[in-house]
Amino acid sequence: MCKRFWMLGVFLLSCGFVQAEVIRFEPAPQLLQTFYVVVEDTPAQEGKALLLNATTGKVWVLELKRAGDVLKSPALQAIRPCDQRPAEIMAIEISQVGDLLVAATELGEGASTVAKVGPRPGECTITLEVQEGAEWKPATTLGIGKYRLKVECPPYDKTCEQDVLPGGLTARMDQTEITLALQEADKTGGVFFWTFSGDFQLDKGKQELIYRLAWEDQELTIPSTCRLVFRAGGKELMTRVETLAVEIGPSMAMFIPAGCGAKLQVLAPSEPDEVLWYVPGRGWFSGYTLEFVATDDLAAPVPVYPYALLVRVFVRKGNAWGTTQMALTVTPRPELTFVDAKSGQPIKGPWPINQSLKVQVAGIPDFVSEGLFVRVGKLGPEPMERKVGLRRVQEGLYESEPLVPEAWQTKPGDILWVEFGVPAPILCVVSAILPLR
Amino acid sequence: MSVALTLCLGLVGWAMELAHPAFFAAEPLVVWTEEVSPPTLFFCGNPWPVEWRAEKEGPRTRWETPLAQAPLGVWIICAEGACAAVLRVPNEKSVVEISGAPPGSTVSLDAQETRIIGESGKTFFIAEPGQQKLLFAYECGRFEELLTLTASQHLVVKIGELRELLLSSSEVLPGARISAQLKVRSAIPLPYLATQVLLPNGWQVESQEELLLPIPPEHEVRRSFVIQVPADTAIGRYEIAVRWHGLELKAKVDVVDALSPRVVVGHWDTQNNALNLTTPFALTYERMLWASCLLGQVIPYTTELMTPELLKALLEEWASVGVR
Repeated sequence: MCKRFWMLGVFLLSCGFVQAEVIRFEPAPQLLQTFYVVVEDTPAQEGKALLLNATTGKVWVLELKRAGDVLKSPALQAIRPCDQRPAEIMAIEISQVGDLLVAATELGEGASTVAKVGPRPGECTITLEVQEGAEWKPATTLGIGKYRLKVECPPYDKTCEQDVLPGGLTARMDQTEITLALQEADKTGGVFFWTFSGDFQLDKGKQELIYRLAWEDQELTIPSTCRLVFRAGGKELMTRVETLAVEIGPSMAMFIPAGCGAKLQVLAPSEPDEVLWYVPGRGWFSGYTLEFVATDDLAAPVPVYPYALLVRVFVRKGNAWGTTQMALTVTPRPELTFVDAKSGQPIKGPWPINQSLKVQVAGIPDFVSEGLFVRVGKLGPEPMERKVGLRRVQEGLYESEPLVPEAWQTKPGDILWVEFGVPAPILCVVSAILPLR
Repeated sequence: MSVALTLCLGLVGWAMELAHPAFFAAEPLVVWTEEVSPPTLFFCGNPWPVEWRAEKEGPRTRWETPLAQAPLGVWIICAEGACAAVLRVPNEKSVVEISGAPPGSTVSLDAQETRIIGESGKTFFIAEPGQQKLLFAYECGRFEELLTLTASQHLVVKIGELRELLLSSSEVLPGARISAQLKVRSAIPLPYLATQVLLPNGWQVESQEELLLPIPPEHEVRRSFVIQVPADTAIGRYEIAVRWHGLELKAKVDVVDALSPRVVVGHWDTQNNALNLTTPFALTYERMLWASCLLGQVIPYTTELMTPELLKALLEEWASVGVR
């Protein structure tokens, strides 16, 4: 290094320090990019300039020719030993990006300039690729298979060795962030790869579908619902895990009265190979359908209506998994009451068979308010079951028209029954009986 | 008052008979029908397909289905054009079934629920397990009983029991009389036995004074009455039924133009030298002596001769049941 600076000093002295002419690189030298040495403000029609790689000590003599108002060198290109030598362009050999170039001319009073060879221009790009057979093809999401993150960063190709990606590759998901050190795939490409395989795991403890990324002897697990953000070279790539699209019915959210049931089933994908349901407080169940009954043990310590439950389902078809959840809101159970048709007071004890009464149903969610009815009949032989329509009295409260038990051919001692079936998809029937006299 | 645990309380007098007015979720639904076609179940107005296990029990078929995963509530079962509604209740409850109670009486459980007893003489309560006080009130008085209930238990409280209906003869001639004897038991004292006797058209009940006698509590008592068969009754088999507080017993008698020798001998009034079908059948020394005198002759009210073989068979039967 000392020798190089000594040579530079001698050269600069020979050229003189006071100068009128101006010499400059145009544009600033960059790896594998064409540049010129230009001298301005000189009346000469031609001349020479010296170009010194102060890092390596190599010197080139450049013929300057007039080009308009300036003298201009031939086209130059900084290359490393590992780069392909350009045709018809004068190669300026450098050891690596960052080599110091000095240009000087003895025209006029002499002039000189210095510049470091910059990296190749360009921006980094990050792409996700998936292996299909022997080929890598662009991908947008993660699934089961072999994947690679391709970081293409020409500016980071600096040496003839496999360069290290400055700052590495950062993978961020949810609240986790890891940084991976990446090395250039080849000596000259400026391309960096992170190759991993991806698959799914079901974490029954956390009731989560986990996506596992494995590379070399390491692995990273993330919830399958998380988005992954890869960052390298100042660029980001956002991707997500592609899971099976799971749809469950009868709907993704339901109101269900306490004590009532609902049949939940997988609507998509069709013909799944495995279906696992998780009900908080109940645990795991397998099967294409789940018959769920909202009992109060699900709400601890004491049910306060309405309360919500999230039922999760995990579906596997082949190797692929998917998950979704259903929000169940448990509402109070509808209550049936016999009331005196005249006073509206609840009936206690045996009721005369020839006096009119009404059936009241309380606690009906408003979303099931259309076309409601109760069934009324007599216990024992000849029940004479019949439908009786309900009309809305106030929010959640419905009542029947006046009924006279004799219409059911009842006799003293008989027992009248009434039942109310919550409309589908809820599987629930509440009933009550009324002794007669 | 006795409280019996039993599973044989039925809804009688119907083409279809249910084991209970209410059954628990864990127990099967049991029904008897007179036909061989299986019953149909309905829940909330919709058919509920089930698999029935059928078992022939005499002239009837017993049908059973577990209904394991079925909901609670009102179930309607139909068979042979008739339907009935039953309740399916949680296993955590108890069912108290009252039977044989006088119509018009009231029964309450734990002073909360009250039932009026109708013509069926039956009612039931769905109750919480534990000790509950049963209060029974009728025109002649009232009494209490402390019941101990357990979960999934059918506790049958028999206020009255109609235990047996016995006819004095299985054969009768047109115009003759036979007697019927009832064995009953009541948990409560009753002023008389308010039975309803169902007879074929034209037949009449005579000498029913015994039915008006008081019924002491907790004792099996026998009450008899006489039935007059009209002289123009056609030959054939007839049914006699007695109903009491919703309970029913039936008996059959054959009206014949000639009695069998055994019936004649077993009902012969040797003192009056006449046939008396109202007396209980019995082979006695006097009757066997009378029968032996008939050797070689036509037996009265029959078309048969008293042969040595017939006499020998009667004597052997007399000897086998004990010489009287």
